This record gives sequence, structure tokens and C-alpha cells, in this order.
Amino acid sequence: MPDDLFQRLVLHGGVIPGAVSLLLLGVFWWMHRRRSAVPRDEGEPAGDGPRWLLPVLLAGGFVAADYVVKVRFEWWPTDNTMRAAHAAILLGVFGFVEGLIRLPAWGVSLARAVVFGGLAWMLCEGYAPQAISEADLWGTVAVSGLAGSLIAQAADRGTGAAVGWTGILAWVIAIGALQPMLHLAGFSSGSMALAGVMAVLSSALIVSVFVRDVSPSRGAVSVLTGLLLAGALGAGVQSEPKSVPALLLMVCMPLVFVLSAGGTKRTLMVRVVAIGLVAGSIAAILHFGGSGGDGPGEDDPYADYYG
Amino acid sequence: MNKSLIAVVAGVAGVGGAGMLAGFSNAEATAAFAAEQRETVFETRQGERMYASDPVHSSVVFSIRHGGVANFYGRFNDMDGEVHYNAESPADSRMAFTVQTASIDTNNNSRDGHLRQADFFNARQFPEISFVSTGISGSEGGWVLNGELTLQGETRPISASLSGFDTGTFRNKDVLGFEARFDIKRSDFGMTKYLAADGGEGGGLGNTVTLIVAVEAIAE
Repeated sequence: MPDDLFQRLVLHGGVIPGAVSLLLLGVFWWMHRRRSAVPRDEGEPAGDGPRWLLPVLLAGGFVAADYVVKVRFEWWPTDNTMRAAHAAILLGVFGFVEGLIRLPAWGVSLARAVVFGGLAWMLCEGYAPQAISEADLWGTVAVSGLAGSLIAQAADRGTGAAVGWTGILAWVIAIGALQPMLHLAGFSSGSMALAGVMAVLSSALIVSVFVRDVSPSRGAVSVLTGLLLAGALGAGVQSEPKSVPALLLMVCMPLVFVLSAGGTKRTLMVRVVAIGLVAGSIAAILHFGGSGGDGPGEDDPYADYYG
Repeated sequence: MNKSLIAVVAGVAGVGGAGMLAGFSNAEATAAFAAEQRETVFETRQGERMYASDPVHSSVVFSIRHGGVANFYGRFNDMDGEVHYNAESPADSRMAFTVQTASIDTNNNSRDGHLRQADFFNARQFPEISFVSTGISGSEGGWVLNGELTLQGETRPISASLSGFDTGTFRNKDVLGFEARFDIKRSDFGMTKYLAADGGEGGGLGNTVTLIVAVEAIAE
């Protein structure tokens, strides 16, 4: 990575989104805790807290880091690879609404399927007909919507069932593991844009240690699952079907969040170990499959010329 | 969450992922599809003679500033073109060519793979770079080739210096040659990855790309 890009990525895709997130999450969740502490009438719900905030910050972090890498934002670019920010904005808006309004489970699942299908369409429609047929494109859209919705539902249930910071820490590890995987799969700009997500998640983790109600469930899980789906689609297109097993594991990574083992620490330990196994398997497949570089044994496919 | 739901989720994800990814063909198939779709750009007019590019004796070379200190050179190995030459009035001649983006060659397989991918040419979506002339101005010894260049799905008017635009005979075949030199700003075509924040020539990779297209074409 060029020095100037690294510096801009650290500042605009790391420090600033992280600091803004720390401030906003801290203030909003502190206000929620204060409000929750006030005695209420019997039957009055305590409220879910500002769950709409984290999805917006996650999408914002991704967009900021993506802009640093691409130095450009168009309202609707022809190039599918320039639409990652648009996908993040779609996910952020959906996560905001999901966090703000409590919908029935079937409604959330249906809405997620539409959003994930739309995400797949905006990232892949330009590949038809030269790289995929129209039928394959619509198949990709339908399957992405259905699979993404089911995976997000499972991850959301598992995340919501545990103490907030365990879910956030597991997501920090999962997204952190995804970065080198996308890099190895030949999708280096995707791996760099996730720096903004990592910055926001790290701030959310700090706040969640003090405010236990902070949780990625309802909203943030949709954004994170959507970004995983986008990463898998991007890596799948760019590295071609050579990395199919690795990319399947990548899509399935949120299923780690349905694992629980009784007790916060044990659950966390089980999830971290599971993420390690999944991430390690993906990295091994990509590394020994040679999808990014010339062949086995090459740790960084770009290192020999782009240092 | 019960095990059956996990199984359903994993199964759908697995089947879906496989279908999703298996649908994508490889880069060679994408380039072949684009080549199949390509048609002759111009109809030959009275007074013109058509020449088709000779891929064995034609070259497409590019240079770009690297690290703010040095010029780096690379090439594209596959190109196809047509020239409709008007011997009476060379300025009325017309030409068009396409370059296969997946044929990029920088003497490093890893880098070539990276250049084909999302960060740069996105060859899966844009398998070709194309140029269609709209006119030639100037006079012999100082031709200017005007036309439209399409790169990354963006089409922009562009001018190139045109030299050696002449005909001859080689091994009993009528041949034509020229060299066109384009200076383009890659950011104009949406290729902004690893561009310096000020859009200049510093940073990892410069903004200006010099594209030299040297063509030898054989009369049809």
C-alpha cells in the first residue's frame, strides 16, 4: 500500500470514524441508560435504546474508508466495483430503520431478503451478459436475498441472546479475519474499506463494556451480514470460482453467532474458537489454492511489486 | 436456535453460494464473449480501402508514473482494429480498435492479475478498451487523430498525435502502419484506485497514462 494511502486510511478510515463512533455511541447509550433508570409505570416498556445508531455508524465507517481508497464518489457509477459504498449506504439505511422500528420477525426476514437481493443486483448487474447470463444474475440475486436473510436471522438471534460485548467482540474478530481473506482472494480494495467498519466496531466494543445493553442485534447484524455478502460476491467475481469453498465459508461465518455454551465467557470462548477455525480454513484454502497469487507459498500476492 | 433451522440456513447458504459463484465464467470466457459480439465498426466508403490490424506486428504499450519518481511500462498483448484508408485524402480516413483488458502484461503474473481485478480494469465487467475515430486533422508529418475512447464503461472524446500514417508493400501484401499516442487521465474514466488525494502524479500511481498504439494493418 502506498504511504500516502496508508496515512489517509488510518486517519479518515480509522481514527475519525472510530472517534466519532465512540463519542456518539457513548452519549446516546449513556442517555438511554439514564432514562432506563427512571422508575416507570407498570407495563411501560423500557425501550430498546438507540439501536439505530450502530448500523449508521458502521455504514459511515465503510463509506469513509472506501472513499479514501477510491478518491471518488458518483451517484450511480457504471462500474460495479465502484458501488461498494452504495451497497453500504443501502445497508445503513435499512439497519437504521430496523433499529428504529420493531417489526415482526417475518417482516424483518422479508425486508432483509429484498435488501440483500438488491445489494447483489447492484454489485453484479454489470457482469451480465459477458461474465454471467441474465438467468445466473437473477439466480444470484434471489439466492443472495434468501441465504443472506436466513443467515442474518440466525446471527441476529444468537447475537441478541448473549451479552452485547460478546457479540461485538466476535464480530470484531470475524471482520478482522475477513480483511486478509479478501486481500488473498484478490479483492484488496474491499479489504481496505473494512478498516472503517473495524474502527466503528472497536469503539462499540469499548462502549459495550460500560453499557451492557449495547448490542449489534437488530440493525447492525444486517449491515455486517450484508457487508460479508458483498465481500464474498466481490471476491467471488474477481477471483473466479477458484475460491468457492473459501467464499462459502465466508458467507456462513455469521452462523458462528448462533453458538452458545452457557455463560458469557464460555459462549465467547466457543465463538472465538469457531471463528478461528472458520477463518483459518478460509485462509488456508485461499493460500494453498493460489487464488490471489502465482501459487502456494506466496503470503502476499501483491508484496513483490507493490511494497 | 434449533438444529434443523441451522441445517436449513447452512444448506441454503451452501447451495446458494455454490450457484452464485458457479455462475461466473472465467476471464478468458468473458473476453471470448466480448470478441464474439464485436462487429466491423465502419462500412467502407467509396475511395476507401479497408485494412485489418495484424496482431503479430501491432503493439499497445502504456506508461504510468510509479511512486512519484519513475515511469513504469506495460503492454496489452491482444488488440484488434480496422483502418479505412483514403489514399486521396488521408485526413478523411477512419479507424477503430479494441484492446482486450485481460491481456495486460507487466512482466509479473501477480500484478497482472491484480490489474485485471476490481482495483483497476475490472476486466470481468469491461473486457475491452475501444477507440473509434471521429476525424483526422493536421497535415502529413503532424496528424492529430480525434475520436472517442471507451474505458471502464466511460466514453470520452480524445485526441492523439498520429505519426507514420502511411501505406506500403510487404511480402506482396499491401500494408498500412501508424502510431497513435494518447495521454489520458485515468480518473476521467473512473479508474481512481491508488490515486493521490490531489489527483496528481504523486502517490502510489500517477493519474496520467500514456497509451501508445502502434499498428500494422493488412489490406482486405
